[in-house]
Amino acid sequence: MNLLTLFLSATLINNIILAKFIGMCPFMGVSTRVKSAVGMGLAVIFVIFGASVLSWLLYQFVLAPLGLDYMKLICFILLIAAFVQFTEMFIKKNSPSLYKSLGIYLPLITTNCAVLHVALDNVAQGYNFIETCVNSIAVPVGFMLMLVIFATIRERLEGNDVPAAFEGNPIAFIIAAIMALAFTALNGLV
Amino acid sequence: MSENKEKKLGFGSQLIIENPVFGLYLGICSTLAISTNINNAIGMGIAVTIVLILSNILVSSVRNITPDDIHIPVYIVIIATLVTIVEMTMQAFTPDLYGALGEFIALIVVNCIILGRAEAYASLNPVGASAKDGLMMGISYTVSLFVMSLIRQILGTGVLSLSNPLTGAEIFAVRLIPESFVLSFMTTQTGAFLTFAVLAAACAAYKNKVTADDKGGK
Amino acid sequence: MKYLYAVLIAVALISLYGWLYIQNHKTPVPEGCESLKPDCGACGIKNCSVRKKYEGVTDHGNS
Repeated sequence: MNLLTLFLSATLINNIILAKFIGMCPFMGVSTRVKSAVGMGLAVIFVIFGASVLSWLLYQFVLAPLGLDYMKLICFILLIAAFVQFTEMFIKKNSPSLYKSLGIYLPLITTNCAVLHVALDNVAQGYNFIETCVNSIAVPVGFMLMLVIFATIRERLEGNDVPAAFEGNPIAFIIAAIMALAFTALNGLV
Repeated sequence: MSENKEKKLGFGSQLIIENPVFGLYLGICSTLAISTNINNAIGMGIAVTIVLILSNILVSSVRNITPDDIHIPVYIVIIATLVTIVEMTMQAFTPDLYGALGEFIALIVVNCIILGRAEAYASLNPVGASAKDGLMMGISYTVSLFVMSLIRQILGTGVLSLSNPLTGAEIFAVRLIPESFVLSFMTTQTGAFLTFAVLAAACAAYKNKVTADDKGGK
Repeated sequence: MKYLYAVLIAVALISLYGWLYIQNHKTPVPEGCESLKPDCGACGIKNCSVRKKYEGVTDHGNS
């Protein structure tokens, strides 16, 4: 598959949040401030890329040759969790300033379904190494894009007169509905 | 104090106020994605309930021998193993349902309800109580998923149908809305977000009303 | 033999994760980052471990 097509479809058309509903938890929780949306987005890009490429290597060179296909779920979640721990430790030791902006979001990422989704998807789609790399960058970029757009809208929404029952998350879901509608217009892009 | 309140409210009200999906926003991903028809909703609900009960039982039974330092790794291993078992069982016995739910069965591993309950309840309470908590949470999740998929299926396709998960054969199908009046966007992503927003708002409205009544009573 | 490999891989990954987890928790938080708070107030997961941890920091001062 053309790599640019793959990138565009993973970022915009099959956007992980609006088209696949994956990664909603941090999406709802963190997307109230643009600053934290950017922090979370960068942390997610790094973890998804690292963890998915490692998972792909583990699958391709260890699990598949041994015929241990059924082990992939448990292996991938452990690898993701280990990678998150390693990243947190590495940042703590080497870059306090980076830790200041990303550190708090790292523990949240282990249980982010987006990471596991990308790792499983790369294997399920039968991507080769280059395609895996492109997909593992494209998906979290789409995630961050949504997170930032959404945070911008929610910042504006603050102080507006929303009906009491819709305050907080329900109104955010209405925004998501409208954005999902807008993004269906991109379906013809590729 | 909160315990008294829970007793006073009863199961029905508690289902709405402490609803894991619409009240606490746990496990939203699967709720939005799976709720296109009631077959998927029931299948997913049962799968999650089974994993939830078993994980609560296991976490609770190892709670005294788990070193505090590594309790989260232990829970993740337990949950991932259980989900693999459930996934393989479904693949073998309910292939149609497995195909329809697809990746979302694997994603039960990272469903916030399960790790959340393991940490907040099962790691502190005895086995029996934890199993009951898992069952209750599982039922609330299944009911939420069912209500949402019922709305989306009826408005989106106009047909209410149910099929046997083991064979995939249709048990019944009733057309409730004529084809020309169907809101087909309800089956798309937009419909999912919209239905969720309305149900979550309804939950919040009920919660606001109950808390207002409480204050008025005092 | 196949099952032995499966068990070996699982054990290896579990111990890798456990080891990294402990190592990570031993590593001190860098200066100036002791009281970072995640901006996740809109999230409904009240019993989330991250939130509990950071709310605990503000409650007890130095814990």
